[in-house]
Amino acid sequence: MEVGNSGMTIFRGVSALAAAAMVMAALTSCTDEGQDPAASGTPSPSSPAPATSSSTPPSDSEIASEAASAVVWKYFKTVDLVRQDSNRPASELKAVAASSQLTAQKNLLKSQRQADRRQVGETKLVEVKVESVSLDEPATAYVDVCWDVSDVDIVDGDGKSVVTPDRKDVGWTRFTVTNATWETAPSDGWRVSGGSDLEKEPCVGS
Amino acid sequence: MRRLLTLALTIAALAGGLVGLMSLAAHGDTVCGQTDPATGECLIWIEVPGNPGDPGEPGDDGPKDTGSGAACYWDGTDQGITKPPPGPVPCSSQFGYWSNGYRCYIQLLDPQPAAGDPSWQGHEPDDGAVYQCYQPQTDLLVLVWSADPPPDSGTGPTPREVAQLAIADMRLTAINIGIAPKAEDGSVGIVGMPVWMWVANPNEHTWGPITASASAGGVSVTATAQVHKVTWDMGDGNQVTCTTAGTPYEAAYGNKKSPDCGHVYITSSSSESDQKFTVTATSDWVIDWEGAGQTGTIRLNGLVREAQIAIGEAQVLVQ
Repeated sequence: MEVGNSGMTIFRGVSALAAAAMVMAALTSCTDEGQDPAASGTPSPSSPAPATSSSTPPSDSEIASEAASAVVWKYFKTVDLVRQDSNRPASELKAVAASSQLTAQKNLLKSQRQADRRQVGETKLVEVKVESVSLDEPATAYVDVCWDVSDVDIVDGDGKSVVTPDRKDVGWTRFTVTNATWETAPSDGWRVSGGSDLEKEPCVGS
Repeated sequence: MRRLLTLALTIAALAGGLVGLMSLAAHGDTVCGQTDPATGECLIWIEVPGNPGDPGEPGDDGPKDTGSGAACYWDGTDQGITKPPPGPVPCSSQFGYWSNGYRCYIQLLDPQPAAGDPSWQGHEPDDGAVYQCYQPQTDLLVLVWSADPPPDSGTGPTPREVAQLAIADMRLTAINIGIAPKAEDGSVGIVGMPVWMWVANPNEHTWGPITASASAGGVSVTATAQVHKVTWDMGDGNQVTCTTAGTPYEAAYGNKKSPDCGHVYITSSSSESDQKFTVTATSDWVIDWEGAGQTGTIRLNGLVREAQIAIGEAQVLVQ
């Protein structure tokens, strides 16, 4: 089953869409310091209720799209947190990433910590758009993300910035998000398993 | 693929970190597939079209490594990577199985990239597959396309086994026996008189040194063989061990003893079969091999030559 250009673009701050509701719930729960992001995948009772399907149950592809975009948001938040706080275990990444993406992220985190570097500031997601969803095994979604790291810095032990000068503040990445347990965990089994840079017109940073 | 990792490793060595790897794209073959937004560093490298046939080739002979004969090894010295030093690596890990040719742990990328992804290098998804190639020594993670699964070095030969191939090429043989009295009819030695033994016409195949190389399964080994000693079984119950090739006897030496390899019979060979002692010379070869970063020694002790010599009592000769 393919859903091409599903139009599930999620703009930062817009909570009307069902996907955004799930995402914001994840974000809210992840923001709390010390809380395990892995435990925050399910919207809390106080989360905004999905605005869609008040009478019609969501289709499988809609469920997949929402969950895939939600895990992307959660992914960025988790990456921020583990890089900001060296006390947070790298294993937290397992809740949001898999395959080569997990390996690469863990490696980068390890090298950062070995170099006594940490991140300050948070990555903003300006736009999260589910490009396509396939429920063939493994269930896979491609999610385009426009990120804004203008408020993010990487500093060494002395607090000096070590960010390369040619780093882009705003850019696009197309993530491969998969769920190998779609049949049993249609919402919780999604992980960012890969991704590639996207050459697109820069989104408008926040 | 060798070039791919060579480039990556070289730059890694020069830059000492992934930041330096950002310039890798300018060298071709490998480009950054995914940039980490926060750091600006490359998170995942991929191969790109340019040499479509290369990535599927596991590489020719593997580089040398150190260790104790392990089939899987790491050696980045020819790329200027000395840390970690060459040495054996586990043949499997959480990152997959080790490939000497790729110098990384191989794992089928799951799920496979979408059709048209640069990591396919222009191939269709039903043509080969994309693999994750992770090199823990450098923390490089590269996505590579390969028509067939890259070889699992854990199922390949060990350096020692490859060294055996090199030894086979050496065509090592037993020595040609030189002995006085001569091992021929009409020549008889005397009880109590010196017997001289030596390696006649020694050459690289009978005495060494001889060097040969062999390669198999991505492992390349060079072996050098040299006779360490020759054990002479004199046929009278005595053995003489000589660590030199011995000294050829000349008439001018008269009744002198051999300076380095000799024997004196105290009984005659009259009671032996054909009334001669059967003298055997067994060569003990020591083969030092190095390859796949490792070194080792193989002892070869089974090359035997024999000769028959007659030893008589002096009074018999007088008569």
